[in-house]
Amino acid sequence: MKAAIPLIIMGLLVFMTAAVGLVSVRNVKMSLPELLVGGRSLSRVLLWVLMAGETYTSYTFLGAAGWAYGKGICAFYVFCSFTIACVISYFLLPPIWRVARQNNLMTNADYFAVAYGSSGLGRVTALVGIIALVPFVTLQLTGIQILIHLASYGTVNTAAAAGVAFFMIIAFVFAGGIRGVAWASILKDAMMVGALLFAGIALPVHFLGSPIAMMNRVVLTHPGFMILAGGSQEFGVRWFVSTVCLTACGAFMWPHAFAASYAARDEDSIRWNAVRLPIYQIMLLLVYFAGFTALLIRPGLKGAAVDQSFVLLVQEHYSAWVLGAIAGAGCLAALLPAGTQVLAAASLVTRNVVGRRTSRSVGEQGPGGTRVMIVLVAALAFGLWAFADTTIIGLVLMGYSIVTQLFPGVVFSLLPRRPHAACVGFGLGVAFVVLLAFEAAGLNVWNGINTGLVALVCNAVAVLACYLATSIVGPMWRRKGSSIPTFPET
Amino acid sequence: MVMRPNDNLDGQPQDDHEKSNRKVCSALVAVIPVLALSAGVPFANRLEPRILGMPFLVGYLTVWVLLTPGFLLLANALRKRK
Repeated sequence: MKAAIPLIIMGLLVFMTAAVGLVSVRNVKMSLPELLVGGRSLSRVLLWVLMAGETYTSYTFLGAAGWAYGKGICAFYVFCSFTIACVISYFLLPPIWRVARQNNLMTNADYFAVAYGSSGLGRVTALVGIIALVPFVTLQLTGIQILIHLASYGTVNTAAAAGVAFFMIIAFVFAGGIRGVAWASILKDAMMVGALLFAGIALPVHFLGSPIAMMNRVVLTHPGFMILAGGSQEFGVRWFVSTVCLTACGAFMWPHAFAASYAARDEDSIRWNAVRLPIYQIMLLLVYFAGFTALLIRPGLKGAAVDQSFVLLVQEHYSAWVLGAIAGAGCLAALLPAGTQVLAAASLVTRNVVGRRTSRSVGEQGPGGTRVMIVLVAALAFGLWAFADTTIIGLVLMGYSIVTQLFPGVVFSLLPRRPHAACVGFGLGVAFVVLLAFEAAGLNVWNGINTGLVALVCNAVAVLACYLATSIVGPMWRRKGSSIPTFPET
Repeated sequence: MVMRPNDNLDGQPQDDHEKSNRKVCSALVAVIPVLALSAGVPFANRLEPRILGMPFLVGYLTVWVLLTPGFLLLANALRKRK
C-alpha cells in the first residue's frame, strides 16, 4: 500500500507533462520537418528549455550525484564540460544552422553529407551517431529502473515498469515530435528545479545544517574527495582535464543536440541560448550537494548502486509524497531526453542509412517512415538495456568517446576550403582503431589521460594530415562538388 | 553578394579586415572561461583558501561557471560592435 503513493504521483507527473506536450501541438500539422526539427520555428524560450532539458538527463540527475558519492570531486567534470560546450556552441552552431536552413537539413549526418558533398560520409556519421546513442538511451532506462525500484520500495518488477514508461514516451514522441518535447520540457524543468532545490539545499540543511557544513564534513571524513589526485592515476587531474575537453567537444555532437539547434527560429536564438545555458549549469552544483549529503548520511553503496545515492536517502527519511515527487521529476528527466534521442536515432536510420537524401524528396517525405523507425530503435535499445551492467556515467563516457569523434569533421567544415570527405572518413577510421585498441587492452586511461581524447587527437591529426596532403598532391583529386554551400543574402 | 557560412548576417557590409578583427576579439574573450575551466584546473586543485566557505576547487569551478555568461555577453557585444 505504501508503495502505491509514490508510484501514483510519478504516474500523474508523467501523464500531466505528456498532456501538456500533446495539447501544445494539437493544431500543428505533423510533417517530417515538424516532427524532427519543430519546423525550424522554436522561439528562444522553447529552444532554451529544449536544449537545457536535453542536458538534464539521468546522466546528471542520478549519474553525477552517484559519482560525487562514489568518487568525489572528479564528478565535477560534467559541470565544467557543459559550460565549455555552451561557449563552443556559441561559435559552432550558428554557421551550421545557416547551412541547415538553406539545405533543409534534419539530422547531423545530413550536415556532413551536404558540407562535404558526400552521402557516403553522411551514412558513416549516421552510424557513428546511432552507435553512440544506444548506450545513452540505455542509461535513461537504467535511471528509470532505479527510480521505480526506489519509489515502489522494491515491490514492483522494475524491468516491466521501465518498459511501460519507456514505450509511453515513445508514443509521446511519435505524436508530439520535437515541439511537443520542448513544451513538455517547460513543466519538466520546473519540476527538476524544485526537486534539485530540495535535494541540494533541503537535504544538507536538514541533516548537516548547511551545504557549507556538509562540504566541511566531507573534507574531514573523506580526505581526497574534495581534491583531485595528482599524477597519472585514473580520475586524477589529467583525467579530469582530458575528460572535460572530450565531453565539451562532444556535447553538441550528439545527434539529438545537434538536431535541436536546427529547430531554432533564427541564429540569434542560438547565441542567446548559448549565453544563458551556463546559468542553468548551476543546478548541477545542487546535484553534487545531494550526492555528498547521501555519502555522509547513507554510506556503504558500492558499484552501480551509487546511482541510487540521494534518492535512497529520500526514500529512507522522507514521506512517500516527497519520494514520489522527486522520483517523478527524475523519471521525466530520463523520459523526455530518451524521447529526443530515440527520435534522432530513428531519423538517422530513415534519412541517412537507408534513405536517399535529395532536396526534392524532403518536402514530400511524410513522417511515416521515421515513426516506424522510432518504434524499432526503441525496441532495440530496450533489448540492449537488458544486458547493461555498469554505472550511468560509465555508459555515458562510452558514448562520448564515440560521438566526439565527429567534432573534427564539424570544425574542418567551417574552413573556407574544406578537406575531402575521405579525409574526415579517414580520421573517423583512425579514431575507431585507437578506441578499439585501448578497449582490447582494457585501458580507460593512457598516462592518466582519457583514451577518448587520445583518439580524438589522433582523429584530428589524421584529418589535418590528409587535408594538407590532398591540398599539396593536387586539386585534381578533390572533387569539385564539395564546395561550400552558399546562399544569397536575405 | 554571396554569403559564406562563417559570415554574420546581421552586420552592414564591412571590409574583411575589420570583421575578422571583431571576430578575433570576441573569440579571445570567450576563450578565457574555457581555459579557466580546463587548463586552469591543475593550478586550482587545492582545499585552501576557502571560497564562500567552499573548498577552493569547488568554489573556483562554481565562480567560473557563473562568470561564463558574462564573458559570452561581452563576446557578443564585441561581435556586434559597429
